[in-house]
Amino acid sequence: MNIRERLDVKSASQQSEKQKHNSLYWISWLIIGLVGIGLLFVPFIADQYSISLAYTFFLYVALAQSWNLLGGYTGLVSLGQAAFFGLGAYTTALLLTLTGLPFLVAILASGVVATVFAVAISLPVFRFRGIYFAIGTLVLAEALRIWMINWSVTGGAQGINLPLASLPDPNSFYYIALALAAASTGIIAFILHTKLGIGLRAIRANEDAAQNMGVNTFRVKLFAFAISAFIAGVAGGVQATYQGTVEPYSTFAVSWTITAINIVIIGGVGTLFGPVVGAAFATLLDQALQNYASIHLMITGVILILVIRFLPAGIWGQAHKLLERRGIINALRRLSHNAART
Amino acid sequence: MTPSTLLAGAVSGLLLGGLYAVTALGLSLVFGVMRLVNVAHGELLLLAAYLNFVISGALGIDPLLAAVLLIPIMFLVGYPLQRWIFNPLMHMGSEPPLLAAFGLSIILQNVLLLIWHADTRVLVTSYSGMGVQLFDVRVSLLYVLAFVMAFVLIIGVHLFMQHSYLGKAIRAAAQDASTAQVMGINPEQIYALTYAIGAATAALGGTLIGMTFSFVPTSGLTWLLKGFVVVVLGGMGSITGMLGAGFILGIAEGVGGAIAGTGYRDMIGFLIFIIVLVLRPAGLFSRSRV
Repeated sequence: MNIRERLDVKSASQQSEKQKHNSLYWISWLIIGLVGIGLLFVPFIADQYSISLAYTFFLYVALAQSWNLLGGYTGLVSLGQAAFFGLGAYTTALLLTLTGLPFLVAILASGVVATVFAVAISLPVFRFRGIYFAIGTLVLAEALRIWMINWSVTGGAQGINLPLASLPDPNSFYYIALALAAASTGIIAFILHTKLGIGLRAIRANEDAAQNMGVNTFRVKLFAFAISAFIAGVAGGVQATYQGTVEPYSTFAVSWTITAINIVIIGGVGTLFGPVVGAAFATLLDQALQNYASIHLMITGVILILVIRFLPAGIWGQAHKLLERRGIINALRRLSHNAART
Repeated sequence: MTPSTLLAGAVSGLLLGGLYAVTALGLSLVFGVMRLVNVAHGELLLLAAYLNFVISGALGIDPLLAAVLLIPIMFLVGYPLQRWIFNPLMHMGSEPPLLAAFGLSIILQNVLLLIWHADTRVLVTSYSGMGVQLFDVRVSLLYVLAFVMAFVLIIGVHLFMQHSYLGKAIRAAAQDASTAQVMGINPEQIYALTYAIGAATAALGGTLIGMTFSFVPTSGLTWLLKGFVVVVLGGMGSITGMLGAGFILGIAEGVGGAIAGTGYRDMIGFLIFIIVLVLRPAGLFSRSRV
C-alpha cells in the first residue's frame, strides 16, 4: 500500500467516524428537542406546586451552567457567582421600579450589567491563578454585598420591593425559567463546538502551555467570564421578579455560589448535562427536606464531600463513563449510524 | 471627623490588628504547609467561641481560662478532619480539597445553627466594659488584652515552628513532602497534626472574637475573609508577617472607618486585599514560607 492509498484509507475511516458521531449527535438533539416540546405543555397538566418546583429546577440549571463554564470547562474556580446574580437582581429591580421598561428588557439589561462588571474586574482577577482566583472572586463578591448594604440608592439593608403591576403572572415564570435554562445549556453546547471551546479546555489543561501554543488566554478567559456573568445576571433578574423583592443579605448571599457549585459537582464537572442532572438532584433534595432547613444544608455538605471523594466525575459523568466502558455508547453510535444510513 | 477620632481609630485598630493576626493564624499555617485553602476556618473560630460559651458558663470561669481547656478540644476536633476528609483528597490537586472545605464549612455552620440557633452571643466578663488610657485615647481593656494574647500566641507558634522537632518536621513536609518522607517523616500524619494545631489556634482566636465582638453561626465568612486579607498581606504561610499584616488591616479599618463611616469598614480590608494581590501576588512581607 503506498502512502497515498494509506492516507485515503485513513481519511475514509476518519470520515465514517465523523459521520457516526454526527448521526448520534443529531439523534441526541432530536431527543432533547422532543423533551423540550413536552416541557412546553407541563403547565397545562401540572399543579401550581410542581410548576414552582420546575421553576427552581430551571433556575438551578442556569446558575449551574454559568458556574460550570468557568469552573468546569475553563478551570477558573469562581466563588463570586453571587455577585453577578445579585447585580442582575438589583438591575431588574431598579429598572422596574424607576422606569417603565418591559420585564424582558429589564432581565436582559441585568445580564448586560453583570457582564460589564465581569469585564471591569477581569483585569485584576485574571492576575490571580488557581486558588487565588477563587479567593479573589469571593472577596469581590463580599465587598459588593457590603457596598449594597450601605448604599442608599439601592435601599441599603432594606433593599427594594418591586412594583407588583409590572411583574408577569406566576405561570409565565415557568416559561421564562425554561427558556433561560435551555438557552444557557444551548449557548454552552454551542461554545464547546467553536474555537473558543477548544481554547477553554486548553486553558483548563495547562494555561501556560495554551498561551505558548498561541491561545490568547486572556481573551478566552474574558469571554468565558463575560458569558458566565451574563447567564448569572439574567438568572438574578428572573429570580428578583419571581420573589418580588431584593435585599443585599440574601440576594448577594454566598449561598447562590454554593448552590451552583454543589449542583455542578454532584452532577458532573465539565459536562454539558451534569448541571441538569445535579439541578434535578438538588431540587428533589430541596423538596424532601424543605421543613428541615439546617439539616438540609448539612446533608448537602456531606453529599458534596462524599461526591468529591468517591465520585469525582459526578452522577452524569460517572454514568457516561460506565456506559462507555460497557460499550453501550459505541453500540448506540452503531445503531444510530445504521438507522441514519437506511 | 477630627484628628483625635482618627487617632482613636488608629490606636484601637492597631490593637485589633493583633486579634486579626490570631484569627488568621490557623488559615496561614494550613495553607503554608498543605497548600489547602481552609474555607472552613471561620466556622472553626465560631465553634471555639460557642464551646467557650458553654464551658465558661458551665464551670463559671473566665473565658480566657476556658480557652486553655479549649485548646486540646479544638486540637482533637481538627485532627480527624484532615485525616479523614482532606488527606484522601490531597493528591487530586488544589481544587477538590478547597471545595471539600466549602462542604465542611456548610456542615459546621448548620451544626452551630442547629445547636445554638441564630441568637447573637457574647462572652461576657466582669471587665468587659472597662477601658484604659493609651496615647491620649481611651480604648477598651479587651482590645489591649487581645493584643497581648495575640502577640504571645504568634511568637509562641513561631518559636515552636523554628525550634521544636514537630515544628521542624512540619516545615520539612511543607518544603518537600517526598524528601521529608525519605527522612522518616509521615506527611499524612504531619498534615493532620498541622490542621489540628491550626484548629487549636482557633481556640484562642474564637475566644477573643467572642469577648471583643458578638457572634452568630453565620459570622464565619466575615472572619474567614479578614483572615484571607491578613494571610495575603503577610505573605501566604509566613507567621511573623501576619502580625504586621494584622496591624495594617486593623489600622486601615480603624482610620478608614473613621473617615468613610463604620458601615464601609469591612470593605476597606477587601480593597487592600485586591490591591496587594494585584501588585504583589506573593504578599507584602513574603520572604520565607512557614
